[in-house]
Amino acid sequence: MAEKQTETPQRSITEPPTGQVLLGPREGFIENIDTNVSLVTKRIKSKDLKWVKLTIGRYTQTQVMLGYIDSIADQTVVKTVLTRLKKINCDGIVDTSYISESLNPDHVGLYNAAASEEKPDVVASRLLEGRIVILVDGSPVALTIPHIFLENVQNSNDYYGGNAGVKLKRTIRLIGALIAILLPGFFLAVSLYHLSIIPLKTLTSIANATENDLFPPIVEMILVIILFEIIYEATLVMPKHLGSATSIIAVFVVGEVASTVGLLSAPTVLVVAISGITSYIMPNMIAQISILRFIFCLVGGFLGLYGLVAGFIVLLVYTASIDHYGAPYLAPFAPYIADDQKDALDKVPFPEMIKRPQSIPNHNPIRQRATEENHEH
Amino acid sequence: MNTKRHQNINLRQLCIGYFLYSTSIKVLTLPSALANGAGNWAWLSAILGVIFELVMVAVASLILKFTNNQNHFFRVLCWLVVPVLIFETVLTAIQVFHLAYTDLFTNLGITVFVITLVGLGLFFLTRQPRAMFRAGEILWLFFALGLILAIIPTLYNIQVDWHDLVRGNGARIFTTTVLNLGFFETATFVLAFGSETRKTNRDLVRINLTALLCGIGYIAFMILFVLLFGTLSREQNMGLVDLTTATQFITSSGSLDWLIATSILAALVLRFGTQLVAIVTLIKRGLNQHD
Repeated sequence: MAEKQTETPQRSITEPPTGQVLLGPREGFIENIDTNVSLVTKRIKSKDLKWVKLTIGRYTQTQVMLGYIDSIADQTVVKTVLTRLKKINCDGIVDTSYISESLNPDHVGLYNAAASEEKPDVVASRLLEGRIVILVDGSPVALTIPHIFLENVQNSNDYYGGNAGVKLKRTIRLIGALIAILLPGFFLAVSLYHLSIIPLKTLTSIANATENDLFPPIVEMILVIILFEIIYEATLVMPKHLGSATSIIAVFVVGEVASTVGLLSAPTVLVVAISGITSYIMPNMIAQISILRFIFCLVGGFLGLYGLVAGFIVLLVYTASIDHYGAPYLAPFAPYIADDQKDALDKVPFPEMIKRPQSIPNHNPIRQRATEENHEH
Repeated sequence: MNTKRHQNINLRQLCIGYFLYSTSIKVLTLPSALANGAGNWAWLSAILGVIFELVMVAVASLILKFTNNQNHFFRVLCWLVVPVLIFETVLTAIQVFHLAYTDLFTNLGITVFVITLVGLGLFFLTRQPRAMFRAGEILWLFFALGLILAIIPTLYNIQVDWHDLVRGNGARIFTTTVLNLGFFETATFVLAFGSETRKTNRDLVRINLTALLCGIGYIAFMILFVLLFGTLSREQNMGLVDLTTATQFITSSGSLDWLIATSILAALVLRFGTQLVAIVTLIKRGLNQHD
C-alpha cells in the first residue's frame, strides 16, 4: 500500500524528437533513471558493464548513474569523470545539462565536453567504443564522454540504412556547417571589399536589389540574423500550432514585404535563410554555429576576406587545441588517425571495422576478431 | 591504454607533417618569388635554398637532442638561432601584408592590419605547438587543393623546352639569397613541433632524411615549374612571375582565382603562427625550461 503511494508517474517510452531514423530502433530515454538504465542494459548484457551510483544535490538528492564497460573504457578517464562528479557541490541537479557544464574542464569554452543523446541504442554503441555514459534521474538525455566533433557529423541513419552514400551525406553535413558559419560573413566581405570576384551578371543583380537599402550592409546583415534568431527562439517555446503561424508571418512579412518596401534587401534575407537552414544540419551544435555566424559576420564585414581567413585559422587552432578527457576534439582528422578513417567521413562495412576508434581512449583496441573474409577485404 | 597516444606529436606524424608543410606552403608561395629574383635559374636558386635548409634542420635536430643543463653550447646556439627566426617571421608578416594589403584588401588601413596581425600573433603565442600542428594538418589539404587549382588552368597550353632551364643570367640567383633565408625555414617546423617527445638518434636521422627527400622533391618541382611556365612566359612576353603570382590570378575575375589567393594568405598566416611557436620553443630551450 505504502509502495503504491510513493510510485511516481512516468511517461511511456517513445521515439525522441531528435535522432529520428527511417530504419532502426525508435526507443528513447524517459525521465525515469531506472528505466533508462534498463534500456541500456537490455542492449549490453555483459557483466563488464559497470554502473556507479551517485547522489548529487543538497536539496534535490538527485540520483546519477555513471556507466562504462570495464574491459573497454580507459580507467584514467573513468576516474577523472568520477572525481569531477564527486566534486559537484550544489543545491540541486534537475537535468543532465547541469552535469555537462560541471564536466567541462574549459568553463568558458565554446564546445561541450560531453555529448547529449536521447537514444539508448546510440549510447550502447558509444559505450562499446570506450566512452562513459552519465544518466540523471528526471532527465531523458544521457551524456557520453569523451565527446569529439566527428559525432556531430555522424548520424544514426548512417548505420541503419546501409553504406551507400554515407560518405556523401557526411561530407554534405560538414559543408553545411561551414556554410552556416561562413556564408553571411563571406557575402559581406565580397559585397563590401572584393566586388571583382563576383561575375558581372550576378553583381548587377545584387546592385539592383540593394540600391535602395535603408541600412548599411553590415547593419542589415546583423539585423536579419537577430531577427532570424528571435523567430527561432519564439518558434521553439511556442505551442506547435502557434509556431507554424509564426513561421508563416516570418516568411511573408520578413521575407517578402520587408524586401519589397526596401527595408531589407533580398540577397541578405536569402543568405541568412540559407545559413539558417544549414545550421540545423548539426542539431547538437546550433548554439555554437549561431555564435560563430555572428563573429564571422563582424569579421567579414570589417576586415573582408583577410579577416575571414585569419578568423578561420584562429577558430581552427582553438578547436584543435581542445583535448577533453584524452580525446582530441578534431580527431581523427587532426591529429590524423588512419585507422579511424574507416568511420569518419567515409564508412566501411562493419566487418571491416576490426579496431575500436583510437580517437576515444580505451584499453581494448580490438572490436572484433578478424576473419579470413575480413582479411580478403 | 592509449589515453595519451594521440595527444603528443609522434615521429611519424612529424615526418608526414614536415613533408606536407614543406611541399604545400613552399609550393604555394616560393616558386613565383624565386622566379621573380632568378628568372629561369630559379631551380638552381632552389638548390641553394635546400642546402641552407638541410643545415638548419640538422642544427634544429641537434638543439632538440642536446639542450640540457650540462650542455651550455646548445643553449647558446638556441639564442643564436632566435634572431634568424625573428627575421623569418618578419619576412612572413611582410608577405602577409603584401598579399592582403595590396591585392586582396585595398580598403583596409595599415593600422588596422598591423593591429590584427599583432592580435593574431598574441593568440598563436598562447597556443600549444600541437594545436598549431593539428590545424595545419587540415589546412595543408586546402593548400594542396589551391595548388591544383592554380596549376590546372595552365596545363592546356604547355610547351616544354629544356633550354628554358639554362636561359637567362645565372648571376641573378645571388639576388635570391635573402628570399631563400626567409622561405626555406622548415627547420622551424622541426623546432616548433619536434619538442613534444624525447628524440632518439634514430628519430633525428629520420627527420633529417625526411628533410633531404623533401628538398630533392622540391628541386624537382622547381625544374618542372620552370619547364611549365618558361615557354609560356617567353611567348606572352611576361616575366615568369607574372604568370604565377596571386596578383595575376586575382585580376582575372569570374574564376576561382580568389580561392587560390585566399589559400596562399591562409598558408602565410599559419606559417607566421608556426614561426612564433618555434621562437617560443627556442627561448624556452635557451632558458632550459623545456621539460
